[in-house]
Amino acid sequence: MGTLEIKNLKLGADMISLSIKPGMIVGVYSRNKPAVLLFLEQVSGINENGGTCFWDDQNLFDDPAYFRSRIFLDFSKPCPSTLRAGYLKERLESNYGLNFDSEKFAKLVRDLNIRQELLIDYRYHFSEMGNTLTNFAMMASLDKPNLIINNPTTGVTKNTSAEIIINELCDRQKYQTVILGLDNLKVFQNRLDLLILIGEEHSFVLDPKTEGLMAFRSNSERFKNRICSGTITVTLDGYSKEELKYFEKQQIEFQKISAFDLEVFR
Amino acid sequence: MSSMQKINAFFKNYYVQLTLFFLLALFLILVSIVFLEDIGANSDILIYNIFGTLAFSGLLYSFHLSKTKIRQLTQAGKTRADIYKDYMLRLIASLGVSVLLVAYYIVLFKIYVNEQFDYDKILFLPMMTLFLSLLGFLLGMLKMKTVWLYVLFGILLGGLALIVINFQIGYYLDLALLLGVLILSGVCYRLIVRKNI
Repeated sequence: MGTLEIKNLKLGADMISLSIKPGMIVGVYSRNKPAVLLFLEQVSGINENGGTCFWDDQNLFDDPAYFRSRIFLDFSKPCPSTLRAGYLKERLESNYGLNFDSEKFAKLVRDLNIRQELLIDYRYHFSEMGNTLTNFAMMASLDKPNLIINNPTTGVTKNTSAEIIINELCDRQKYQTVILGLDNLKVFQNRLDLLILIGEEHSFVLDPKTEGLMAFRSNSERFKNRICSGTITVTLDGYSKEELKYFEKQQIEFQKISAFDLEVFR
Repeated sequence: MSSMQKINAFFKNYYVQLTLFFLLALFLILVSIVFLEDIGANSDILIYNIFGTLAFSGLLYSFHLSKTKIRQLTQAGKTRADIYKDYMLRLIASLGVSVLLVAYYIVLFKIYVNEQFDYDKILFLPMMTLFLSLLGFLLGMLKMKTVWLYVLFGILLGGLALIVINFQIGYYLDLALLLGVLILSGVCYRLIVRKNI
């Protein structure tokens, strides 16, 4: 079991450091989607990280040991062009050297009703939800212990399907570390150990179970640790009683919010 | 795995396909020399055809590998170093096959035609195969638009045909191509270990 260490990685305007130990589920969220993708490409070892990301104390860029144990998928990208489990198994094994459980894939295709999400003529045409579900079914049928998944629930409108995806991704018995580029914060409430917020002004790593945010219906120089500004300014929650009294005196409306409500205060 | 799947997997193996291509090429070369010489036609054209196919399929394969497939492979867990090593091994295997074809052609030419032929021209073909494959890899790494690749493909194909038909291919052109191959393989390696994909 390995530990993923990030030391002084530049994320937006800030440097972040964190340690992702076995059993941890980490979410990354930003309105700036390319920033999330850039981060995931660095922690997956696909692109250079400038000596800031380590797997068992080794720089994980192009590291064979790390690569053997992890998979990086973007569920919004085109999924495999077939639901034929046997054919998919043969393709994944011969082209990518992946171990694929075709029975599990076939079961997930049935449980998620993926066939309702596609049209077949001379090839398969998936709906956006069908595309995500197929990518998910493929990922869940592989045997990689470390996951890096971008847009895990994109286009999924059925609650039951979303629940199956979330339960699988948050299965701490099955997966060692899971890093998710979140397209929907709310559905992962109470499921994450760490949340990385890449804001327009600052980026933060927080424990969403103990740390929250503050939303202000105003803008003031007294606000600190801003994530985003505008009609509503969102910052980390870390103000003293005196500071809160000052805001009340100034008739600045504010509200403590959960990190998972960030999207609501856009 | 059923027996049908085993047969399919066998024929999809790169080295099996390369061997089949090689055997087919041997047969075609024999046919070209024996029959084309019998009717007084030029047998060279078939060997150009074989090398042309090998060179331009190498260009397209290399471009596709470095432009799109490398990303999928790294996401699935193959390292860049392994991908480049596999690619170079395949390229060397292809070149080895093409050199064997040349040797076979020389032997048959001597036996059936009994004439001196242009060695520089024959060396030029495997060199060009290597050069075009590496060029495809480089352009894929630089994310050249596919439409521009096809434009370049057409220009290269036309240019190569003109060179082969109209110009004397000298020893120095072969050396220049060898130098180009060495530079390109170095540049490609540098890009694959450094560039964002």
